[in-house]
Amino acid sequence: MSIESEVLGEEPEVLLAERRYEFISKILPRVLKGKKAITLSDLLDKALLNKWMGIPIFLTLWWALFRFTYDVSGPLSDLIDMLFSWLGERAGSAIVNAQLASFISDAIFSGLGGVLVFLPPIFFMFLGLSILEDSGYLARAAFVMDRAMYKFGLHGKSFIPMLLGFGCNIPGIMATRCIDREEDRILTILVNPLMSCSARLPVYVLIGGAVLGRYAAAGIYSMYVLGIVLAVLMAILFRRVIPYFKGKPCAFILELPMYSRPKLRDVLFHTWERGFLFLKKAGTIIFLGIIVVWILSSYPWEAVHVGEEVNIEASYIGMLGHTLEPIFRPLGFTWMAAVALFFGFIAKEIVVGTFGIFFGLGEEAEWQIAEVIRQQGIFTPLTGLAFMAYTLIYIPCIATVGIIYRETNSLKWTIFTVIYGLMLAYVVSLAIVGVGHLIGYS
Amino acid sequence: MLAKGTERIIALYSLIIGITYLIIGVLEFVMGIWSVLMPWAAVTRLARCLTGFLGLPMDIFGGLSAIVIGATYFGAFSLWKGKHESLGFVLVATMLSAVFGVLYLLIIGARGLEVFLTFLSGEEEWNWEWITSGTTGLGLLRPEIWLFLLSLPLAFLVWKKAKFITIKSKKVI
Repeated sequence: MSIESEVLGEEPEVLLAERRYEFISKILPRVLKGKKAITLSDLLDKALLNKWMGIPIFLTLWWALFRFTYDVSGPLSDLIDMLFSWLGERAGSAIVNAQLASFISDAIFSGLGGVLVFLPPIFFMFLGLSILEDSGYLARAAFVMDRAMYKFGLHGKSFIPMLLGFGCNIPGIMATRCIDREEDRILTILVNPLMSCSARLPVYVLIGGAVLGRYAAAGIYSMYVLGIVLAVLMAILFRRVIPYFKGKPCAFILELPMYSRPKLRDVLFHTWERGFLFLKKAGTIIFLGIIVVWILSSYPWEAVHVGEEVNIEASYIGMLGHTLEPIFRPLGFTWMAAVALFFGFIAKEIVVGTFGIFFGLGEEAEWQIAEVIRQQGIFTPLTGLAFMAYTLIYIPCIATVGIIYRETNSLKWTIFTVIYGLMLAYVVSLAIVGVGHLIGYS
Repeated sequence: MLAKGTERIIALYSLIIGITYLIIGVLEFVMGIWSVLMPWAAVTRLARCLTGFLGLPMDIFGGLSAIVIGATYFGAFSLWKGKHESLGFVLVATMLSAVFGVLYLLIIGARGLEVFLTFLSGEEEWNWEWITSGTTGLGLLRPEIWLFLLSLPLAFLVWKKAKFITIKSKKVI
């Protein structure tokens, strides 16, 4: 308890809010006559903020958002896929120089194109989030979740940074500045990378679509729920085990806005603003990462390209993959999956781009990565789910690690986040595979 | 102005739709869990036969969502006793019905577009199966779509009532 709280007998923020509303309730009867008017917001809040129904309604809306993201955006992804397939085929046949042709068709059209295919689901997710935000519902979601989060040792203000983490962990971590107490802030930073950012969505869509069939949307939704559950569990664990975090989080005061009908222009603007970040990232860090993966998977050129055959296993990336493979064997991941995860440290979208390059190199005319994953049996439904969970939990991308260091100003907490993430990812994926085997999945 | 018995009509209407949602949701959820947690061929076949016979999809989260919608409709119960505040539950429940009804229709539309694209690219021949199959399980036959349509008159009633209450309470001031 802080000194202010001890002197005042209550936390200062709570006391201030109580006194303010006390003052308002004294003035109101003098200036207004009759009963308080019922607004539409009051009526809606009866259900949306209900003690029992608030959280289930929130999760139901979240599920609708993911079905909208995954199932409705499909045809647009197909169109982009068709465009890149056509461009890749044209480039492959028009360029004479084999190395340049491979770079254009495998790195750019198959690798980067394979990532851009996921532009529609990302825009659809932000569209749904913008509608929820502009209607005034997201603030209610924070309020509803606060009750549960407080019980689990997280500050109510943690919900907004965690919600932002669904878009990108970087603004999510930066938003923890609104949390006053240092211990609460660092705890929120430590669990924020478990919120599934939009960069992980392409991986889920790819693997889920490839191996989970009609359960793909359910698989993707499970990852988001798993992220929230793990964040809560880790918060409880850290509060109990690490002396630095011991004690209760301080109170959360939130003034709820009135509900309003979202304006199309604002919703589209917010969607574009957030979705554009993905496009910008695709043109910079993802593009550079994919070039690195292409170089490592194409060279030594003579060893990899023997006549018409392409032997990726002889490439530098193949060597790296086979070195990493034993670590991931208990999880059922192949060397390709191990390499994809390795490069996912730069940016999670590179996981998808890496598969794109692998199959672009190996399959010549085959561009649909999910189709190849399914045909070659790279993942079973079980190992696919474990891979999705691993992608969710393991090291956040390099930019997020940098921001964790900047915001905690501590190398100790930064290394801790990376290490616990790696360990937790391994344990959870192993548990998924183990339980799956027990109930009869291969 | 709405008739006096409107509250009771809304309460009864909500209760009927709520119970239907709840039954459908429980069956979808149980069948979904059954097929996922017991993936042995015989069990899954049996679950498929049952859901096929009942005309329901095996959908864990879709089932849970239907249960939540049904439970929200039950909030209208105290409307029977004249508590206007319960209108909020019916408002939210009809909104959720609309969200899922429109969502499933959009998914069917998207599936149709996908089939059209594969037809254009010459990969597959044109067919109409997407109307009664796909990721919604049963396409247009999905019960939530029909429940959404059935809830539209209720949505109209409850919206008018809510507007009436909010305007009336402003006049009192």
